[in-house]
Amino acid sequence: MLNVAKAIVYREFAWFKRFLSDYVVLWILPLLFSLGVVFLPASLSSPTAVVKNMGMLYGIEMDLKTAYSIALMFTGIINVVAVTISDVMQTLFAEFRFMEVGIMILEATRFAKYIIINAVLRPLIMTPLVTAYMAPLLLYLNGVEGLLEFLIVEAILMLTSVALGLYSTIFAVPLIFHTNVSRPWTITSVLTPAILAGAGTYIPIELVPQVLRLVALTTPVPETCKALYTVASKGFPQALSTFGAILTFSTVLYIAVSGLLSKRAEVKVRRG
Amino acid sequence: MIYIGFQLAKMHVSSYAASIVSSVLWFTLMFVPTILFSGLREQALFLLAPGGYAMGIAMSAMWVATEFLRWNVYHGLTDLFRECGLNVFHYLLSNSIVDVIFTGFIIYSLSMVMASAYLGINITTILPARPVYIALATLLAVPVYLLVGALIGLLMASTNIGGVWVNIIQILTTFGTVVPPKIFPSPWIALANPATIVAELFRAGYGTNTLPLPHLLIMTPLLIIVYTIASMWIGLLCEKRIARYGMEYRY
Repeated sequence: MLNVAKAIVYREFAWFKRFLSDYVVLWILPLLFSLGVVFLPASLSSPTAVVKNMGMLYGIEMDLKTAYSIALMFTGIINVVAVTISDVMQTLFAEFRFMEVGIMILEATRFAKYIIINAVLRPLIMTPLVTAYMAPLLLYLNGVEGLLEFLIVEAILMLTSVALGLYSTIFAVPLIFHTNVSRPWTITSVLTPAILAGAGTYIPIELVPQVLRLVALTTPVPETCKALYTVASKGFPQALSTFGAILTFSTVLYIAVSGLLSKRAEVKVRRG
Repeated sequence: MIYIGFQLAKMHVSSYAASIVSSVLWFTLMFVPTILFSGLREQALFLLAPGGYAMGIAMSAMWVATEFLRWNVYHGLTDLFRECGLNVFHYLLSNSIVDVIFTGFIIYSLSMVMASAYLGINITTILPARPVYIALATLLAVPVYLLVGALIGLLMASTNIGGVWVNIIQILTTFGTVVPPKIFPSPWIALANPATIVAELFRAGYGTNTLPLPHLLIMTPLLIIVYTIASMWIGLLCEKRIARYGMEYRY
């Protein structure tokens, strides 16, 4: 188990060094987007109107600084969902269908173990790497309290990413071993925005059409968004305990399903 | 070339379908909050959505150009293209009709329908008052697509930038398109982005353009000619550079 974990950690850091420029893009794009989501509507109407409208939608009184803090924190969940869903699925796909290293993995360990460790460790490593840009900005905006907010947000995002890693595996295993799909990105490119749009992300989930909402409700992302609202608006931590309960339930469910699927896939692969 | 473009699109129909659905969902994720936060509803939608169309065209051109230089270098096909007298301009031309007219318009129409569902506005409200300007914008979008793609192709062939830096350059295309020219000290500055005029003509269909319509109408035929010739010339320059110095595969 430890050797598999060490191999995955090594792989992740080697990839981080190799694809550093991708991470720079993943830091710049959310910054621009968080500015855009507040200041673009402000340029069309006025900053006061934007703060008032955001306050009405979220049901809290806020100032421009809080509005931007919320906008910034939500970029974190966008990055985490995009990276986790896409990378967990596409890495497994590449390893077993393009690079043909699947046999090496199966010689070294059991498939279910590899799948679970990959689904848990990879998001845990990548989440801080893709959300690091938030720390200096929240510190600048809200002082020491901002740093504390960042740590809470980071914990929420890391827990969510583990659940999403397992969720992504549930799609990846049948896709790789039981279908002839040759373009996995067609699935990840739709699933990622469907989850994010379905969860509302920047708007309350009640405003989202039912079909999209149902897609998002198969993941803990809507609860993550509520937990992020709570942190940003410094509200009552009730939402955090609901988030914890739903996340625990989802994680256990995903482990059970992905474990079952992995075992079936392993039998199929070992039989040839 | 256009026939080849359609055949390529048929080969990659699942990727096109995924790209359409994905773009519509990203539109709702990014633009619906912006529209709701502004409090301007229809007015904000008619300002932002045409900008989204123009930005999508420019971004798509950059993806196609980088795809040409990345995958064809990787597969060793650039020499084959050269022997047939083809370059990045021709590859862009083959994709232009599918990307600008079909994919671009389907994404735009579906995004407007989704936005109307979110905002609770009547679907007939999203129909443009003056569709002729939208047709004109679409016509101009083809040379803009060719120019932007050829420019990024030349940039990739003559510098060491990788695909991810192209993503950052793509963000610059938001200025003048999604970010309307009215926020600039002088709105004419926004024309530095070739896609701005497509967005403004598209907005004219809804009467939300910032730049004066008579000026846009005078510039349109001139820019169609200038952009087409410029993109052909830039495509040749790009090809000459690759022929002389070669090009390494870059992620």
